[in-house]
Parts: sequence; structure tokens; C-alpha cells
Amino acid sequence: MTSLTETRYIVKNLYKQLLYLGRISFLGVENVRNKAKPQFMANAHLTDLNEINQCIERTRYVIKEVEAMHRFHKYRTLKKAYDPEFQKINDQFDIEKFTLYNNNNNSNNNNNSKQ
Amino acid sequence: MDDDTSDFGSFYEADNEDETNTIINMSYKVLVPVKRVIDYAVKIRVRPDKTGVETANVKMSVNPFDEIAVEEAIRMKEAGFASEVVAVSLGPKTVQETIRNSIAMGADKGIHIETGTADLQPLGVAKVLKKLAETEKPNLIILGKQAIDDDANQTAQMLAGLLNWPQATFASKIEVDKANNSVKVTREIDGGLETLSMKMPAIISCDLRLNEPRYAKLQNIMKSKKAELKVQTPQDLGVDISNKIKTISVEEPAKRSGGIKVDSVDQIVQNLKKHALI
Repeated sequence: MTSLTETRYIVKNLYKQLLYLGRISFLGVENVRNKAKPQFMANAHLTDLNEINQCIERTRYVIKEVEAMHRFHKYRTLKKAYDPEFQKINDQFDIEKFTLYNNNNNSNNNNNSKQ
Repeated sequence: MDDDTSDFGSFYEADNEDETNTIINMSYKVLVPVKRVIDYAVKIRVRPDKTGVETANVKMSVNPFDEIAVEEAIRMKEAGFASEVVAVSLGPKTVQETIRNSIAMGADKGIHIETGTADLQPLGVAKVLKKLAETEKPNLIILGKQAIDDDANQTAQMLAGLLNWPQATFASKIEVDKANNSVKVTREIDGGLETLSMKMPAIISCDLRLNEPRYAKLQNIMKSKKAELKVQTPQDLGVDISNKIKTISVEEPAKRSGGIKVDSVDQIVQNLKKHALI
């Protein structure tokens, strides 16, 4: 990373990668663009390489966070759908409306009913 | 920029390795069938005529379990066990997307079985895969345990039955022992884990906790768009994929009636008694 043209290329790629993650994940590409674009534009004027590199590092960190979040969301959704642990609450189909607290309550109720 | 050069380096290295592996016995092929399904995060809607679920203008992605299977095959390749990973998908031309996705993740080759818009069922798919297994001669077939759209959980089992190969379903850990030509698989079963050892060629279906699929690099995604796919039809393979099971109707589950708020413990007890729960 020596020249501004190179960092420019890297930054563009990072932005594209963020959008790609938005497209494949539950976040949605619009959502990610609306959040990321202003932040990218806010730093568009930077010319100091050190500062730019700092921003690049931060973006890489954010990308890793988004990846982890997507992975986690997917894992939880699939676990909820297929794990025996969740079988009791699976019959309640409007899962979105429940918070974790409610879910626990409901599974407890079901347990009681079995006893 | 550093990333770019290293990437190209490894790309060519892999190519050379393939060329040097001219002895067929040395090559170790892994076949990974992938399915294109409605994205896991999308709310499923049933078509008004009850013939199926709405798939038009719905976000599609690779079946998450198949993604896990692809990842496992690629890890085998990286660990030096496998020399080639082949991704297969059946369906209309749009499924090439899923094959290319697997190639972007790291698979070497893609095979697309063009079936048009025909509805596919596990038995038909298993028959096609059987034919492919006979022509491609893979040492391992790794599948997702089930697709998240029809939840059939049958293809791996049917394929094992048709090929008469050993199978391990719901794998949560896979260890390949190349010297003995065997594979050790830990399975998730009710109330614990079961470890199987089987001779290859074998069939493995992946459970959720086998691994965490990687994200393809954008650069590889662009490259995968130009990758050559082998396109065949079931007729070419001489397989009958007609459906043996008829779907009579698809319906949404009953809406859950809303709950009520109770103010006191007495009321809870009263209500529980009313519904004979205590």
C-alpha cells in the first residue's frame, strides 16, 4: 500500500464486498448501502496514507463482523428449524413475534402439560 | 495487491498438481450435489392455487446444508486428501448459479443436469446421481442432510441404497484415513454421538455442526462466472426422473390464536385448571 490509487482500489473492493454480503445475508443490500455509503463518503477526502490504512483496517473488521453475524443468524435459524430442542415451540408458526423470553415461557408451559 | 498475487500463485499450483496426478488411483474425487432453494431468511408463501410455494421473485440461495458439504469437500482438498471437488446440481438453467457459487468457494468442476422446469423428487435425483457416480467415479459423495425447502432427507439414503455403498448420515465430524481407504464419521444421533468407520467409496450427509462455510472472495466469484460447466440431460444419462409421488395440495399452517395477558397468579392457576393443564 504505497500509493493513493492503490488504496482507492482496495477501498472500492471493500465496499463491493460489503454490498455482496448485504445481498447474500438477511441484512439486505439496500440496508447495507444506506449505512455504509455515508461512512465511506465521510472519509472520501482523506489523503494521508496512515489515516486511510486505519480506515481500511476498520472496514475489514466490520466486514468480519457482518460475516459472523450472517453465519450466526443462519445457524440459529436452522437450529430453531431442525433441532429437537426447539421441536416444542416449532408448532407455533409465527416465530417472529416471540422474544427469547416468551419462547422459554412457552416451552415451560408445554413441559408442564406433559407432566 | 499482495492478496492478488498470492491468489494467482496458488491457483496455478493447484493446476500443476492436477496435471502431475496422472495416475488415476492417486486422484481422489469428491462429488458434492448442491441444491438451489429459497433463501433461509425468506418468509415462505403458499401459492393461491395450493400447488406449491411461491418461487417467482423470491430470493434464492444454496441450501445451507449443501454449503456445509461443499466446505467439507474443499477442506479435504486443502488438507491434501482430495484432489478434485465436483459440484453437481439438477434443475433449470438458474441452478448454474449455485454450481458457480460452489466453484467460487473452491470446487474444481461443475456438472449441471438440465431438467427444465420439471418437478424433481429425491428418487429421481438419486437415480441421476447414481449414474454420475458411475461415470465420474468419485471416492466420496458428500451431501447436505436435507434441503430446507422440501425437508425430504432422502437423497443421500436413496443414493446409498441404489449404489450399495456404505453411508453415514448427519455427520458432525469426518476423518479420512487414506492409507486404509476408509473414513471415520461421527454422527449426531438422538441423545449422543455415534462413530462409524467405513470403506470408501462412501456417502456422507452433513449435519449443521460439521463446519462453518466460508465466504467466497469476490474475485473468485467473478472467475467462477466464466467457468466451464458440463451440461447434460437425464436423457443423455438414460435416467427416468418422472415423479412417483403426486402432491395433492400444499397449505399454510393454521394461524396461531393470540394469547391473553393475566394480572395475577390466581388467574394463571385458574386458567391452567380450566384447560386441565394442572
